[in-house]
Amino acid sequence: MPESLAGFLSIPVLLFLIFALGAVSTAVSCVLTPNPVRSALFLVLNLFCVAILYLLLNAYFLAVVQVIVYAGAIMVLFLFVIMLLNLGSPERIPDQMKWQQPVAVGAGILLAAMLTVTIASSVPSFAPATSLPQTARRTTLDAREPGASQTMDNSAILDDIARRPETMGTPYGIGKNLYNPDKPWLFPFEMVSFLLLVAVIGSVSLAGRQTSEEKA
Amino acid sequence: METTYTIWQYLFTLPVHEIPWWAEVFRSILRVVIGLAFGLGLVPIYVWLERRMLGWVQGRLGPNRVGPEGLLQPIADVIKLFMKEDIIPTNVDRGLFLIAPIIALAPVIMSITVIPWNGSKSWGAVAPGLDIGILFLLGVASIEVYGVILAGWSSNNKYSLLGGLRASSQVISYELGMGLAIIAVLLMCGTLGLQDVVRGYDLRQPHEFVAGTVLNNGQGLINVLPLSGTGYTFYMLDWSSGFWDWNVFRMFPFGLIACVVYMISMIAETNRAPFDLPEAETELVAGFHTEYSGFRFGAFFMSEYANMAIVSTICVTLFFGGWLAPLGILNQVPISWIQALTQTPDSWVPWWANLINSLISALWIILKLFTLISMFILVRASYPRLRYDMLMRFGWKGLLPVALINLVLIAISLAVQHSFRDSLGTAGAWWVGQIIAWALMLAAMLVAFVSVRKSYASRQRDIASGEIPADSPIVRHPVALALPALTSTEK
Amino acid sequence: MNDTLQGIWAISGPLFVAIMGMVVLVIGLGETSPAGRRFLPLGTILGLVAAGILTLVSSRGIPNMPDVTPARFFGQGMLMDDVGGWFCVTLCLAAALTAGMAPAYLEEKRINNGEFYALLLFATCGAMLMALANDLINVFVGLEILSVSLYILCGFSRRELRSEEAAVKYFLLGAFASAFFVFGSALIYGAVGIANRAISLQQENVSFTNFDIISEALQNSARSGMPLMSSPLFVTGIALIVVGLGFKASLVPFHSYAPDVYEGAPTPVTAFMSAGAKLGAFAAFLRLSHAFLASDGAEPYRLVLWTLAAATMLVGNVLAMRQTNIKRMLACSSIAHAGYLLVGILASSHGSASLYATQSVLFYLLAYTLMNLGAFAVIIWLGRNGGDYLDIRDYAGLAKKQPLAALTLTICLLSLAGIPPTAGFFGKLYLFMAAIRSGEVSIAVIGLVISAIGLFYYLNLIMQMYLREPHLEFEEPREGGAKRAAILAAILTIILGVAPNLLVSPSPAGEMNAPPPVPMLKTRPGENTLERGSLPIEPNANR
Repeated sequence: MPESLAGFLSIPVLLFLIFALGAVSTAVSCVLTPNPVRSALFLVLNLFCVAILYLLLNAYFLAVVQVIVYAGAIMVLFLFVIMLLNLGSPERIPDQMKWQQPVAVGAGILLAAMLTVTIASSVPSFAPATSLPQTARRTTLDAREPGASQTMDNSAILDDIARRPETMGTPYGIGKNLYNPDKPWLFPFEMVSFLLLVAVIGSVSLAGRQTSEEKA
Repeated sequence: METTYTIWQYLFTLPVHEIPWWAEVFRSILRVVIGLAFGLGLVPIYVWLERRMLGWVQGRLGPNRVGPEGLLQPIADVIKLFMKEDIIPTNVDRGLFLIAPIIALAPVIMSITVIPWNGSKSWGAVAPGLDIGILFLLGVASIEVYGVILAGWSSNNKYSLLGGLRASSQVISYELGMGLAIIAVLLMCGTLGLQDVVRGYDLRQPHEFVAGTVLNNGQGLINVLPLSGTGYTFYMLDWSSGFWDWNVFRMFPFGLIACVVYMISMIAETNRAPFDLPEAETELVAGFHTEYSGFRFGAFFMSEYANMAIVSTICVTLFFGGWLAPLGILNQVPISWIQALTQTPDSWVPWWANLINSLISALWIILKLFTLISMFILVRASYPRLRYDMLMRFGWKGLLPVALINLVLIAISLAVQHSFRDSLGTAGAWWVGQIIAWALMLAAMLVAFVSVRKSYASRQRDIASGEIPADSPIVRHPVALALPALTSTEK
Repeated sequence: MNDTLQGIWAISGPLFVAIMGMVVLVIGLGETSPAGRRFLPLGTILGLVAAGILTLVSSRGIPNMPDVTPARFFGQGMLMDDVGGWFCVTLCLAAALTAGMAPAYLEEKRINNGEFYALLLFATCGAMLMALANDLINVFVGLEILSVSLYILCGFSRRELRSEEAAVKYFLLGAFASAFFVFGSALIYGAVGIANRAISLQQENVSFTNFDIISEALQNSARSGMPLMSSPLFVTGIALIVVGLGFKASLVPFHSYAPDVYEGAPTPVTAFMSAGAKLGAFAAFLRLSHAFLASDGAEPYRLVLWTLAAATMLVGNVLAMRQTNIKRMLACSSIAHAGYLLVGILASSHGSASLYATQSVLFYLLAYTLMNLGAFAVIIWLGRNGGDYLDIRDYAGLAKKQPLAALTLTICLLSLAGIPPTAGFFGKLYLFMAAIRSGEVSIAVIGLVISAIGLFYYLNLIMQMYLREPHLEFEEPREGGAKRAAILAAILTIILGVAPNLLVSPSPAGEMNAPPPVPMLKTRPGENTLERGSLPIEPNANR
């Protein structure tokens, strides 16, 4: 029906389709390109597309952090290492177990198909969006009535902002939810810092220079 | 109640949430035009300024023939660049070679979007009121280096590749210090929105949003003046405020330290002298853009200067009060004067009043911008280029720890302030927090001093015992003697 | 703030282990003297003992709330109960035995750095967090801390190609497994979130990957006519999580890395990995099964577990029979043991025998830890001069040359084979009893038959030791800590085998405070005391 189609193809949905398609195609290109530099660049593009998908979900903070951390820092390091080693396209290594290739492709397609069918069949569950609280459009502090002499406590405003689905992805929302000891996310967040410490220790101990004791 | 507005009001003066989409589109386009003019239109003037100023420093004239005082020289250069043949060498990676200059220029233009040139939520920037402004800047700054890397790699030339490699490692190293300095400002201001950063507006502190009242935000006085019927919501700093309210002087000296770290990093980030290793002509011909000519070279050239302007503007915005005047009295023509002059009612302001005040704001930001650009040029004229390993060591072992310690001290001070605010009041809590942070800073400096003394003594012993030869440059160099961590050469 | 402090007290065991790891790391970095080196394993063991005691104390009662067991902390993301406490203590035991057997081996390989003990402690901390997690996010963070530490430990012997190969293999496959786990958690978050909205449970401060919430959603959604178990999103999520955890527990068909990695990694690391990774993974499996307890539609989940358990037992034992390298053999046997444990997990998802099955899994994990670490300790004990006796034929006639080592290894192998009077016998007995009680008779029969097959390769090794003539001299064995660890493990195996009731007696009226059949959310005083389970159910989603 054209009406429902027009309702479906709103601008956010169109943007989603474009960038989702971009994300998938760049991901596929990243895997299939033999040239490592181009492969890494496709990965950068893929990260950008995913960042825009985050934006469409109102997760501004996540989107920007994705760009800063992954596209801006990690991928630059990747490229740096690739260029430093001057990697060309890899030679084909003779495959010892030729039967694995078709089986792997088949299994991969099967898994992808299963996941697609699964998630696609769950889409109708998203339909009753009316139960979401209707939120006012004006969320910034400046947008209140001009001249209206109302006294607002800032923390109340911020608590309110943190709870709304549309502003949960902003820095306020993330901060309010992430750093609240009553919520379940503070603890894993703190433990992740410990995880990173373990990873740092590991990379130093694996990649660091050999100690004199080891050389002996 | 239906109010009819004129098209003029729709296009220019109504608040954002009261206008239809077409008016918003018009405003956006206009803002983009202003932003581009601001970001790229001034580039020829920087080029002219640089050449004349270098000439002045070096006791020569500089370009002075084309136009008055040589002002049209950059225009002539641009025309020359566009007329030149666009050479694409045979063995380059064609796609990436062609796209690299565009990738270099695009992020610079993107960062213009969030830089505020006045306090208005509808006219203050290309994208005013974006509440992730600082993060956006960090994100864009982090992808700027791709243009250089790709140019270096796709040129299929070893000098270009070396330039690209140097650029990537240098940018990553200095981005850390830069990011930490920016985060220091973020912590002090408690907000990620750039307009709020300029106003020194702290969301964590309780405010009363009553029109026309004077607020104390702990740093300076803010006069909240929402004007009905206009797109402006002026948060006018009181006359008693001034340069002492800028972030650079906030929580002294931590804002200042962050500012210095940022300014050093921004020179490294833009690959300008003395950190211009990626294009060091004595070593790498011209670095990453060796193979470029014509307007593609022009794009790199333009992006370098525009980038310089952008990082300077960011510096002004973050540390030097953005569009604000150094003295509150010079900020704007008070609305009340205009109202008195034109005899308009209290709730109404003539449109040209806002225009005049916007122009005053823009004037201040441009003045500050040119001051910083001049600093760039003077630094280039004064300092020799660093050696590459020194540059990296300075970034990782010099700037990064300083920025990190600075950040931790700010956090400690703020935490103390927060817990004492109820019992001691804002000012009392500020002093308690600052005194604790100062004490910690002095302790850190003491530790640093002791370790420097120790390493100085050990170097002296090495010299006495002959481990360091007497003709080594280290012997004559005070910094090398005191700070082996910064200057040591691998044995 | 008080809640946070109570939470920190409740999980003080893993936190103490983490802090101890950092202390050991710093000391190891600065200390180069032999005396200081000797402190590292000693400090590690002391720290682990202290952490074990802390865990026991904190799991027996939380200050100010003695009657709420198990209590939830950190936004209900962590919990401390006797099951978690048991896991933690077992993990401390495993890590302490590893730290005890390691020094001589590391000394010879010249990798006796502080990092080894620090990473061992970090891995232990990660597995303990998994055991105490009440939320898939925390399970994941614990899993990653455990995994990252193990990747590094596998490649710790940097000059050996085999060790590097093991690290790379384990890392690449492990990263994929982690990705499966995260993706599964994301799908579950979505599915449970949708279900919660459909049944109008608008709760604040909850995460939809919380096991309590999952359990509640499973129950309530079944009553509302839109059962979560029939949601493809949820089922796929569970399947992906089973893949992720199955990799860590080396279940078939995610086992293929295990023989290579176990063979290549330094032997103490192999020993810890065979126990620690399994403990963490099975703790998560157990929590997941308990979340399914209350609902009826868990059949697909059970079917998957059944298949995995049968395949794992069969493949593990068959593979083990073909091995000639003792480390590879023990790796394959550990795959088989994961299968036995999965039988217990399967049984624990039935409400009728959940408590019994949980206790039997706990008992088996302790027994498995002791006997497996004991076997590895003997391997380290016998090696010398940087070399190890890894071929099974090397062990011919060991009883004549090193009778004590042969006896210790025999005890461990008999226990692994499940022959009385050892802990392994009772472990298997309890597991299969639990399966029968819960109605899973078929898998119990299959397990019994397969474990009879498994006797072959354990007895083959014992025969080698006692009936063949020696062709190696076994001079100057390493002894030291490895000997002590092996003998301790063997003695404990025997004690548990003679008196299994000493620590735990799985009986229908067991005394242990296993989670109640229907996990209830802790309601804080002053909060809405309306029971969550008794909320009126509105079939209409749009409220």
